[in-house]
Amino acid sequence: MRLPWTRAPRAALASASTVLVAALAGLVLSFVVTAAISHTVASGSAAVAYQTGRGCPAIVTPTVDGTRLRPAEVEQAVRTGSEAAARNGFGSALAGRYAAVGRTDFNGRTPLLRLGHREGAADHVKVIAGGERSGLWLPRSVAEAGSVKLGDRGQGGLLPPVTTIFEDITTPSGDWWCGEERYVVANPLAAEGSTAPLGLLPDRAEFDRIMARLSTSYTLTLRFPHQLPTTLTEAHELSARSTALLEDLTALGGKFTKTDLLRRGIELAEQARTSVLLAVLPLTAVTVLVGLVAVGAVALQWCQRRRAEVRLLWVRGVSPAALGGKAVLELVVPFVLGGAAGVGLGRLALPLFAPSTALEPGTFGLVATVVTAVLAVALLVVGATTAVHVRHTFQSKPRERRVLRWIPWELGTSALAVWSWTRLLDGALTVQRGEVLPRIDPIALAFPLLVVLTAAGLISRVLGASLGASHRLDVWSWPAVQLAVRRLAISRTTATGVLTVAALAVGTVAVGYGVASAQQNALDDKSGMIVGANTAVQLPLGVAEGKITLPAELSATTTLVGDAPGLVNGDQVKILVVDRASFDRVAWSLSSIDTGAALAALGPRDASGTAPAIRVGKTPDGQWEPINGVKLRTVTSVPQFPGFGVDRGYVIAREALPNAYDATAWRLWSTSTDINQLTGQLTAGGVSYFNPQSRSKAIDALPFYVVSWTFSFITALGAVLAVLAACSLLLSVEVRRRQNALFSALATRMGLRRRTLVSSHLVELGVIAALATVVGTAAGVVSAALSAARLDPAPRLAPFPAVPNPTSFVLLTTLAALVVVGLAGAVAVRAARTARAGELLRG
Amino acid sequence: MAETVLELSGVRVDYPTASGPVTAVADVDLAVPKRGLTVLAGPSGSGKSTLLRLLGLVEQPTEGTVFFGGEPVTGLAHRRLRRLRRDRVVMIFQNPPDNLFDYLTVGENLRAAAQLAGRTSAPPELLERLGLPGTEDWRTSALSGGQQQRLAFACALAAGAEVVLADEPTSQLDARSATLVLETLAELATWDVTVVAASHDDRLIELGEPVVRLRDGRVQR
Repeated sequence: MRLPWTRAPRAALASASTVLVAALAGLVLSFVVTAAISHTVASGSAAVAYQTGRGCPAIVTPTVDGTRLRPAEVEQAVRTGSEAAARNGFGSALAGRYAAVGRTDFNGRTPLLRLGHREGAADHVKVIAGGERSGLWLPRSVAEAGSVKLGDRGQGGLLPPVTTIFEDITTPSGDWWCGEERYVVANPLAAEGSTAPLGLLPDRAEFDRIMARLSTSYTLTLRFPHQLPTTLTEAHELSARSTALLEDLTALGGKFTKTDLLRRGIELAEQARTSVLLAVLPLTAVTVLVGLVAVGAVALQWCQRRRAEVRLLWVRGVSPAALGGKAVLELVVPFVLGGAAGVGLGRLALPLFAPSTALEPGTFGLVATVVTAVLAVALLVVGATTAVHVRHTFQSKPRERRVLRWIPWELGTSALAVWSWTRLLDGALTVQRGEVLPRIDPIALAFPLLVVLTAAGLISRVLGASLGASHRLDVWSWPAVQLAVRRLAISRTTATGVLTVAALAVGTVAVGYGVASAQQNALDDKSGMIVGANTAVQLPLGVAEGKITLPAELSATTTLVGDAPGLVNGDQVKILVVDRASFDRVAWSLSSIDTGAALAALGPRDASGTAPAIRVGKTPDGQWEPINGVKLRTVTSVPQFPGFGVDRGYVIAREALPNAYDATAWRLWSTSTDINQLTGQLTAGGVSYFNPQSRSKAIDALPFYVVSWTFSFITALGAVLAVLAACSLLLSVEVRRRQNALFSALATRMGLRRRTLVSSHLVELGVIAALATVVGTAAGVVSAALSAARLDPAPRLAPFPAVPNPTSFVLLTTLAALVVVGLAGAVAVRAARTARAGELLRG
Repeated sequence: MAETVLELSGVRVDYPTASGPVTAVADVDLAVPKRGLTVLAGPSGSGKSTLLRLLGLVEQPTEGTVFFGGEPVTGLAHRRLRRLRRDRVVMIFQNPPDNLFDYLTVGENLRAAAQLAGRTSAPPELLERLGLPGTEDWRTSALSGGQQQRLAFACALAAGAEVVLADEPTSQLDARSATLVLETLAELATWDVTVVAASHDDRLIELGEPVVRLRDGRVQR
């Protein structure tokens, strides 16, 4: 290579702003690529974490359950299971041995009990009394039912002495017991004698002796505890070992039931990742294309800043292609450095936008490869743009008119927006045959962004046209405004460019934030409307009858709700019986429904036995078949009501129900978000419960997360654009530093007040920031609102997703815009204040 | 008749503008002798620079023919024009820094000019001959405007140019620097190089032989 190409990197320093812009372009491009790949991979990891974490972690790995087994069969199965576990990297099998449920005689009383042994179980129960690691450990409920004290023996001395009394294992039972709940937790809703509390025999030999004496058959559970996978690769690896393990256990025969839940979880996680990938890929491609256009602009800036040298080389016979090569050599270093910074930033910022920070092992290699490829394409764009520009400038005849400027490309984006809107109306989320998760239509998904792009283009065109005609403006009575307009007019291309990027950034963030928040809110509201409150448990009838008293500390955070059957025109509907005093305080509330006002219309039955009722949803009017003689009269209607979910029906007041047993079930709703806290308080108060429900697990959240994750990525893209817009604004001011300084020095010497000068800069920058904020926010919020309702993964469940109140977003955006304007204004004023006389006089 | 290297025959150049085409030069017939300093003189807007660009093969006429070394070059492919510019013609612009690479030293500028023309190195005595001895390692910004223009001429010679075209070479210099450039031009006129300068500097016009006077885009007879 020859001079001056060999000195190209040094030459680049001659134009620091171009180097900075090139580095920024490289940073943005590589950040977008890094973020897209990392986000997609992280979505798979997050889906795996969700699938393995939402249920019982003990049964993520294979489970083997056998009933009616003989002792020899049990020992053979445990041996086979342990060998298979060791062979397939599961350590050892955790065996649970259980006897059949039976009535056990203690002091003449015969409570139901299931005897069992599980290695390590003694360490996973809450001991109330005793603790010796031999003998029989009894749950409190059985001990109380049989008036058992430590040292007592059951079954007429057949059982070993009771050495420990522990707290009953209840639902939710925690990670260690959750896979065994059907054997160790008494379910009052199950048939009599099919379930019972667990009596533990910590010593296995003692357990086997007792089993032999009782001549009962065994139930055996084999579990294979394992650390949960954090990524899809780990999940696949674990699944492969699980499959191999189950194949090794085929010899156990038909008496054993085997499950492998992980495989289905992986399928769903892969579907989630595919959905996110399909949604993110086109957006990323469009963003990269926009980035490459920006790279082309960097090349043009290089040509302008290095015009003298380009002309010198061209007249000395250098070809346009060779000049393109020089531009590439000069900008390759800032591009690569910016690219590396973008990869680093994408990795560091992962927790801010990605649903998980767990990435597959090969992710970095993939990121590096794709980023390298994109940067190579970007450098090709630099070379090609420079070559074409040089050819156009020096070898072509001047064009009479700049055609590109007048092409109304906003018409194109608006046409695309209309097209995507029709796709959105047709349904943006579709569930494919054999899949559970919805596939997102990427074209429909692009609707809000296309609206934002169109709005950004339109406002830039309006600003450009206004500035073009601004020489007619005469507002010298407001010199700051006049100066600001003239300054904007001089740098019209820069001003419109920055405005486009800034409006696009604000709109993109508004769309991403709006739709992602709408999904999260919809998930919260829909699950809240199913459960009725944050958490709920079913209680015995005695609580509603007043025979069992709830712990006093629950009075402020809970409400008792009854379910009664109702019939309208022969169709069964739901009748919800509520306590008016506490319901509104505890129940999940929707901003669209005034539950309090509706409840105020309820009351007791009148003399004719008619109770006022709230009609929920599209429950048909018709002939009532009254419950226990109670007739209902609709006093008000609401579209949804907590606790109904997809059901329809009526709500009546507790005092309208003649008897507590007229309701088929009574549930306690709680404001507590932690179901363990609620059940713990009930257990401590001696109140039995069952069927615990938590809002966080009421519905499958993965479809919501898939949409939410996609739009979180869009928010990240918007944030990058916002940073780019802010940097562009600051750079545009810095590039004009000398002109600003010269003008300011002259103008202030001619009598312009410093305050007016500062105001003129603030007006100039403020116009761009204000237009970007207003147009971006308006377009973003409106298009997000239109999209959000149609991106509903569970449309049968009310309410539809709706964007949150944009006030806080508007305030935050305005604040950010003010900071950027203030900063850019300070840079401009500082340039004027610190300019040296010699610098101003230089020719 | 003196031997010529560049000739213009019936040349006209139009530039498109928003209000229609504007003629920069018209009906120009011109022969540039192979030896000596030819000066294109005339007021601003008379077409001096346009003619210089035609002679420098960086612009094509709207009408007429340009001959280089007796061969017509109008309508030649860009590749062939580039080769002619690279091997045989050098243009020098009026703003001295525009003729140099400011990130290279004086010596590196000479080497760059030579390498651009396909030569391996510049003659070592050039700087001394053009009054810039001992400046080889200097940054170009350390030179005065006149010295920078001298270096530009040295670069032209390093490139082995047969024709050196200078556009208003003294217009952006103070009197002392301009004198340095005039001395250089006078020196070059005695060498085996064709020098054409566009100028309205009377001192430079006095050095010209011949002097082609232009007014409103036409050569004054």
